[in-house]
Amino acid sequence: MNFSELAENIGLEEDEFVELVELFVETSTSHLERLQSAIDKGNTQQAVEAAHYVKGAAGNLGFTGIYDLSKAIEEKARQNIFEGASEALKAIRDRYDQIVEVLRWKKS
Amino acid sequence: MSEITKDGDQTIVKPGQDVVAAMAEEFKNELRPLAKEGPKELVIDLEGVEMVDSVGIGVLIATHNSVSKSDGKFIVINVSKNIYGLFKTMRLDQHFKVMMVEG
Amino acid sequence: MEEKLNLTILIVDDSSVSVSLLETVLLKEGYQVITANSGPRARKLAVEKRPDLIILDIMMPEEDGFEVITRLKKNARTASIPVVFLTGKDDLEDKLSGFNLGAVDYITKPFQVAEVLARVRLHLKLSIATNSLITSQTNKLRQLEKAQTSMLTTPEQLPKANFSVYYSTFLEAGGDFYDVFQISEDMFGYFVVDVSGHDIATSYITAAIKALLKQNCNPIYQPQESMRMINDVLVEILSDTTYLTACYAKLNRKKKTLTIVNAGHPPVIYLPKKGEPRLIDVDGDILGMFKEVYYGQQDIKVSPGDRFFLYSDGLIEKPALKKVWSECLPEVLEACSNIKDTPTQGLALELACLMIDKTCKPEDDIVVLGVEV
Repeated sequence: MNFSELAENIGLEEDEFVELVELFVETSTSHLERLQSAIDKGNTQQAVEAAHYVKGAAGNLGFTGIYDLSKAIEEKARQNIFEGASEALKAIRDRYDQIVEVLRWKKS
Repeated sequence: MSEITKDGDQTIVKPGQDVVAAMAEEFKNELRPLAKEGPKELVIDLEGVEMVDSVGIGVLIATHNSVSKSDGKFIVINVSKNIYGLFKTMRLDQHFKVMMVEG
Repeated sequence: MEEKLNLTILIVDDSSVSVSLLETVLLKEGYQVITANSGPRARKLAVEKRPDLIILDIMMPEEDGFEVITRLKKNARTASIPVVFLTGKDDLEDKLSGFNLGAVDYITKPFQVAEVLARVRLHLKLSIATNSLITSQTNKLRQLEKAQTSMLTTPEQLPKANFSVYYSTFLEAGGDFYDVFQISEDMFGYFVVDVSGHDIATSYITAAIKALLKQNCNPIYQPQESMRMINDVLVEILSDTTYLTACYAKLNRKKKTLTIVNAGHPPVIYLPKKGEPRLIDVDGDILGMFKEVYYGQQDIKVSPGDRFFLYSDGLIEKPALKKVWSECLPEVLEACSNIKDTPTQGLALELACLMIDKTCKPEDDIVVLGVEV
């Protein structure tokens, strides 16, 4: 995950990009939790909303992995399908943790 | 002042001196009626001309604009290397034909 | 700053990441930005602040984008503000509904920054044209009776522009002139103009151009477009033998870019903090002579401490030696490499001193602008 490359893609300086990533991490935490509980309870409306939110934020910053995974969850949830959602969410969390790690490293 | 020759539809004007502010007014007065005649080609021969300034260039371009209005062609020939460089920098060669002196 | 064109954009999206990203990008371009993350808040801001453009997300909880547009259009105070909405890739129905409700355009998410900027510019231009800002320009110019007074911006008047200037005229009235102006918080414009000839009448032209610059050099127009618009007006008002050459450099200290447009004028000299000076060659037609014109544009990355120079040909041309200015560029480049250690305030004077031959009487106006990033 090359932050400076991602920053350049959207025409920002790396430090501006890092600020946005921090915002992303902050706001995504609660949405990922809501997504988890939505999947556990089978609540499609909640799952769609939460996945949509994470998808949007990730897409804007160029985190294509998270974007694709959230998109998949959202689309399936719209059709009331939760198959594979847990796995997809786990994959999102892994990537999310990676981002948090990179942030920590950048700030040290 | 300038040497003027007419060959059918073509008029050739040779100022024979630097095309600068000092002679610009007179030069303009020579060129105006020639452009109005609506020649197919109005040629300015810059043989022996070593220097042009902004006033001189203004007269040349005004003449080109006038000639173009009656669908004529405006051509500048025998342009010294340095003046050619200036004309190119100012993109004048994109508006009318400019020919550098041979050799 | 009487005529500075201040453009405000309202961003509406429930995703704070989207809002933040768009806000950062638009601020860098020189726009003012206000934000809302819900429909009700957006409508309140729109009424209060009357933004010039609204970027609106469709999918928002509670009040969605469609409801927001509908209500905006019903309110006379906000009905004429152009709305561009943000929509997901495959939502054709969304797009059609949006258009039917009065949106002017859509941008698909995830968005490309360049696309957002292009659409913003386009719709601001259209909106402004509809409000006949441009047609009033020529009217204002015709009312200009006062000849140029000494309205040349001094470094002390605009310290944030960080420049120095050397200005000497051949005649009282002067033909060449310069202008330095602030476009937005971190964007400054530097303009040098050379008027052909030394007519007294050129002082009217100076005032006219200052007005044109204020109208046409703002965030929504690319410098090359600004130059074209200035040419369009000048072709109408200048005499048939009068033309201008000009050089316009727009510095965005936030984005750290320098954008240069050149109208048949000597090239900008860029002197990086570390490195040798070089010419920035940009093609462009002279102003005021041709109806069909072309202006190139170059964007270069700059860093604090870098310097650049705009100047008129009077600085470098040597008529006594029968040398036109296009032949004299190597000399001025060398002079620039010798003033690397000069502080900003002395830059212009120093360069002028190095270039001017004190044994000859000056035959032309001389303008030098030295700017530090």
